[in-house]
Amino acid sequence: MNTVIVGASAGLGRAIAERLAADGHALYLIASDAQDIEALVADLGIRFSIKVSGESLDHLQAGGGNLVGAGSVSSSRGRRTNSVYAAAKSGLETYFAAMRHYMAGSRCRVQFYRLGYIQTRMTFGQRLMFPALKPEQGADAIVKNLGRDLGAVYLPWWWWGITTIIRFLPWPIFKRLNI
Amino acid sequence: MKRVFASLDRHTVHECDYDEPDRYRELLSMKPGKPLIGRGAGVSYVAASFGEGVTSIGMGRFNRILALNAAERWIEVEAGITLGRIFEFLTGRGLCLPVQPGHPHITIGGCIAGNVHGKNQFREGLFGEHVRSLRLFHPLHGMLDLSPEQNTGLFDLTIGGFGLTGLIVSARIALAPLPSAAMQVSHVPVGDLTEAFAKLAELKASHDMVYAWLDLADRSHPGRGYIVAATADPASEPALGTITARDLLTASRIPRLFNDLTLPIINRIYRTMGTRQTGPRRVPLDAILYPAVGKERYFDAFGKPGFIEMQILVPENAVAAFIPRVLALVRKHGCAVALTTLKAFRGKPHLLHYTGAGFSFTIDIGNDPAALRMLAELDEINCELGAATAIMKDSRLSPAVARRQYSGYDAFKQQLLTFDPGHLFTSDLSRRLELHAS
Ligand SMILES: Cc1cc2nc3c(=O)[nH]c(=O)nc-3n(C[C@H](O)[C@H](O)[C@H](O)COP(=O)(O)OP(=O)(O)OC[C@H]3O[C@@H](n4cnc5c(N)ncnc54)[C@H](O)[C@@H]3O)c2cc1C
Ligand SMILES: NC(=O)c1ccc[n+]([C@@H]2O[C@H](COP(=O)([O-])OP(=O)(O)OC[C@H]3O[C@@H](n4cnc5c(N)ncnc54)[C@H](OP(=O)(O)O)[C@@H]3O)[C@@H](O)[C@H]2O)c1
Repeated sequence: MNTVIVGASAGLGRAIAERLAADGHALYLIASDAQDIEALVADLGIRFSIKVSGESLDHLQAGGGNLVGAGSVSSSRGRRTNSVYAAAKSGLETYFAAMRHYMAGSRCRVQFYRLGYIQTRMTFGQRLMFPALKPEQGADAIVKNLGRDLGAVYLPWWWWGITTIIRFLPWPIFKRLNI
Repeated sequence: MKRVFASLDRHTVHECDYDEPDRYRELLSMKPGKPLIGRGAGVSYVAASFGEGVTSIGMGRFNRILALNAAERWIEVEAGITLGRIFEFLTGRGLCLPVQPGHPHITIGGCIAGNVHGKNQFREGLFGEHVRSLRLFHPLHGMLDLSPEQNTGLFDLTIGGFGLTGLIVSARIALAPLPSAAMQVSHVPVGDLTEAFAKLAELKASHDMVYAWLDLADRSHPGRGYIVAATADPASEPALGTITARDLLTASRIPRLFNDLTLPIINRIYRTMGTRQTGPRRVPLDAILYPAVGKERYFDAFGKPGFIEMQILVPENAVAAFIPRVLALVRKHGCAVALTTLKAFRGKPHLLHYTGAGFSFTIDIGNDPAALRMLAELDEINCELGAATAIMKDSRLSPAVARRQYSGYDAFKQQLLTFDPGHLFTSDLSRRLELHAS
């Protein structure tokens, strides 16, 4: 299987790249800093003897595959603390919903994750209200699901409960919360 | 972010700033300002990778393999990679790192900055002798390539430089062919210290790795124990798989187990178990390379005050004088020594490297006033006999004693001052030993 990973140099993307490399898949890794990509391409190529290159998209071949989007639980309800991020993730989710519709019937699976906290640079040093997943655990779950027609799902699943509560909190209460 | 860091001996504890970059541009954009220090796995006995008011830079995300040349036998890795990960990678390819200290979580950065040794020091020397080149980042000087041909002085200073020259980003290290995936290991009993030194000297000629486990808590036969002697076992199949070891740094809440009453009994049981079967038996290579795996809770058994590890390089010609004096000292103070080990060494003193022609004698002892008095007296004996204390092991070593024991002490300070006049890289260790000349 050929996989392009956008945002492969760090955090969850890097863990997914490693997990797929361990399974022998050919990879194309993309991020904005060439040095990080070079180092990761070298590492995965040497350790797992896979076909791996970075940065450029042109080798991507048509035909079956997976398109996996990383969303966030933060888009479940607009909050004052991270308006732009949540709005962007909502937009991305809608885009992925459209892609899934577009690809229905093809061999390409489109999946979208509403991710909870993950222990990466994004959450480093922050005090979190709920336990954070290790990138490797996230990668494991995502890779296991490849090939399935999933739609949009929560990872970890129990964020479904938390976001549902937040979504249905009555406005008089919600407006007072600093979350 | 704030983190509480403790040295492995639980002697020094500080709340410090911590950062863990995972991208090159984060490293390259660091500006000279607040003091910094590199941190690998953070499992050093002393507070070498942190300090009050110092930001520790965790290098654990820089842990990739950048190149391997099996024909020329070298590997290039980022400095945050652990020994265990390299072991897992190299074993199946019939190669190994020639020098490895005793735990798989230790990183290459820590091995270079500490210029560590393994159990084959008498053959392979120190870790630094196998480093072909390295990349170092210092906010004042940028990214630098160091090797015996390029930036020679700085290369020399960075190996065994306690992280004080900057962040080690990657290194090219010479490899050895893997002798075998398992070793034939014998436990040769010895009755006292004199016999232990003599037997170790004898066995090193015929074995790839040797060290001694001795019992100084035994009042009637101090120094009784056994020598672990290992040779390659070419008949063994390469063992592939992952090495799992427990975290060394999360202190468990077990009550203090070691004291003057319990240690003689615990050590006696340990020695009896160790000498039940003396003849050669097959032991997987990782079990002999990393004997501390599975024994991680040992470091908690001294309770909250922790312990002191004193590791002393006793020159060959001082052994005869050293043995009776150390025995008399232990008798006089009556402190129970938890662990005593002995290794064979070769090499020439240089800067602050822990090396020389002789023996490395190590004791672990609970951190209490009686033990500190005993170790202070031992400091004097060492200075008299020309023995040197390992800087990376002993949390109470003073600058005065270090200066008397290391002829390269002043030169190290001077060279460091030239390269890093603002002391941007600073640690609890460098402050305690006054390694920053002004
Ligand atoms: C169970 C056990 C067994 C051991 N056995 C041995 C042994 O047999 N022989 C031996 O010699 N030692 C031994 N040690 C000691 C150990 O090898 C050293 O303390 C080593 O430096 C620890 O590496 P680390 O990755 O934990 O480094 P840390 O403890 O994080 O740091 C150690 C030093 O290295 C510097 N450093 C680390 N990474 C970098 C980097 N990337 N750039 C710049 N500086 C850096 C730090 O600033 C600090 O000065 C043992 C330790 C343990 C816990
Ligand atoms: N961590 C969490 O708690 C959490 C929670 C919910 C959702 N998420 C979502 O999960 C995904 C992964 O998060 P993470 O925590 O793993 O992040 P991360 O550690 O910051 O890694 C992000 C990756 O994306 C790359 N990247 C950033 N901008 C890019 C660009 N313009 N073009 C190409 N690559 C780019 C980065 O490399 P360069 O910087 O070099 O480009 C890096 O490889 C993100 O979509 C995030 O929003 C994370």
